[in-house]
Amino acid sequence: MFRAVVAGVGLAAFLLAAFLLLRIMPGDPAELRLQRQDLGGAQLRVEMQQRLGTDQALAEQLSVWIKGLLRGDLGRSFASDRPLAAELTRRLPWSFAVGMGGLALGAMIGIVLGFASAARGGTAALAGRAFAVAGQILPSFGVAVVLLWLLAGHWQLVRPLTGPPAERLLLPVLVVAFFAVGGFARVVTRTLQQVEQAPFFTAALTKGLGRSQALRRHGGGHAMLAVLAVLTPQLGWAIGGTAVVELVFGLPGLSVFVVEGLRNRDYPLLQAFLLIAGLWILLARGFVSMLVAWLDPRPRPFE
Amino acid sequence: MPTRGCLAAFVVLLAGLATCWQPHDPHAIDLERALAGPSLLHPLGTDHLGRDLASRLAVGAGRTLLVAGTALGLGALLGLALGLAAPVLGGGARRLLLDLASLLLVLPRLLLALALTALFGLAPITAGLSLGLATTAHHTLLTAALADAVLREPYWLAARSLGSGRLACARRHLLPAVRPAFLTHLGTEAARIVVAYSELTFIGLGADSSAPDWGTMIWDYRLYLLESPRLTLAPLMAIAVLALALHLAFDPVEPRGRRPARRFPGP
Repeated sequence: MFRAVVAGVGLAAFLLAAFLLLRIMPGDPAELRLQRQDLGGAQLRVEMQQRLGTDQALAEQLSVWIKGLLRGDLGRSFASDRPLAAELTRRLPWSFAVGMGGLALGAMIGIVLGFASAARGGTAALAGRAFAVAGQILPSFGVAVVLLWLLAGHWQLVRPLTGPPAERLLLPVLVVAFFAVGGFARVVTRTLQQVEQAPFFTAALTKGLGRSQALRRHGGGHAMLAVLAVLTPQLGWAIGGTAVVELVFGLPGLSVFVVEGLRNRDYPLLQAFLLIAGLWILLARGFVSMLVAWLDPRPRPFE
Repeated sequence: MPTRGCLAAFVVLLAGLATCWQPHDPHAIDLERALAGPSLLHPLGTDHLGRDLASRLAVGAGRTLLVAGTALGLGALLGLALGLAAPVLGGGARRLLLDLASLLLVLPRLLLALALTALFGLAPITAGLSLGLATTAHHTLLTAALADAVLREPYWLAARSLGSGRLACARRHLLPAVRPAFLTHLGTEAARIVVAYSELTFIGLGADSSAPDWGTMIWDYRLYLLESPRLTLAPLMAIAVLALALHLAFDPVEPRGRRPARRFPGP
């Protein structure tokens, strides 16, 4: 309970800081919007500022926003005047599916690869390392563009731009997974190598278990904890971090929308995004820490 | 290690040389030669406007190096200073600094960098500053974690009890202890910055679309992937090679392959 209150206060402070920082950013949303419509002039600019409400004092703008939030209204986009709540709920599933689907697939492949490379080494270890290095040195859009070219353009196996949603999601999820595999595989391997040094592992071997059997049974829990530790910081990236991939594959996701909002100085959109992302992080972290507490019942120092 | 260092130095030197000299004017348009394949005159061929691909790649190399240098310098300085200050100051200041850093870490890095480039612009220097700032939180947390381990050592307590000031102690005892791990981290970070800059220019918020940045080139050339994939693959390879060289130069050699199996204790 106490932790939830602290988290809530932290989120509120974060949003307030974001609210102020956005308005310090150079660039006037009213003027940018007029520019997009090829309009200009002081008169129009003042009118547009009045319409968007950016001519009011900061405190006034803040209270308008908070009152809206209390009514469950996220406001309207500065760029299109459309209500944000509807737009965001339409776009969120796309980004979420790409981010979480990719992370989940990456984690699964990474765990299998990590186990194999700890138990047998050889090809699996080499593959794990190759994934880890490739994830560091290749840009995600590059991998996306090449996949698009080979699978969709050259061999015409999938229709990432015109197919049904599942088909459109396939390649983006693969790209995100590609970049996630290396980290997971590495951390699983490393954890299992530590487990091999532990006395309880020797005890398991003396009981007559085979190496990989012992690793699975007695190292599995440790490996899961390590995977969760790697996963937690990446969860934040599941919403809003997939802009490049969405851009290449033409997905109507949240991340590209936010990038567009950044270009237009679309304050209500960016604020709504930060609110959603913040809530998501808090929920996800809370869930992961509960999961960790359940997986790892060893007593820990009082925090 | 030395071979890897030489490899990185060689690639960086090559990129530096390429910045100073290109076979052709990277901006010269020649529509008669549009999309021409590799030839003696144009070693990598030309793009859809007949510009020499090799020359454009060369200019992009210099811009990328400038960004990486600026970002690493700024990020390392700030991160090292804040990351050492937090544990040494302790108490509320430490809490505040580290909480702030982990809060910033929550934001997707690309978005943070995009927001910062919206502030500063996307010329190489300003992009470098933005990426440096965007990575500061990461550096800070790492340095703080490394420094924390030193602070638990008895020699730190001894030095402090002998009456040395905090600053002097930090310089004498913290910095050398933190340096090796921090440098390794900086190497992987250099590779990531090369990649991140290409992503920024690929998305292209506020980028100069005529400047031959590697990301911008891939954005432009992806439309010609089916006719001449070489246009897209060449800058992609350039990014990968530069990032790999930087990554390998500092990456610690890990124990690879199968460890010797523990022998079952015989009777």
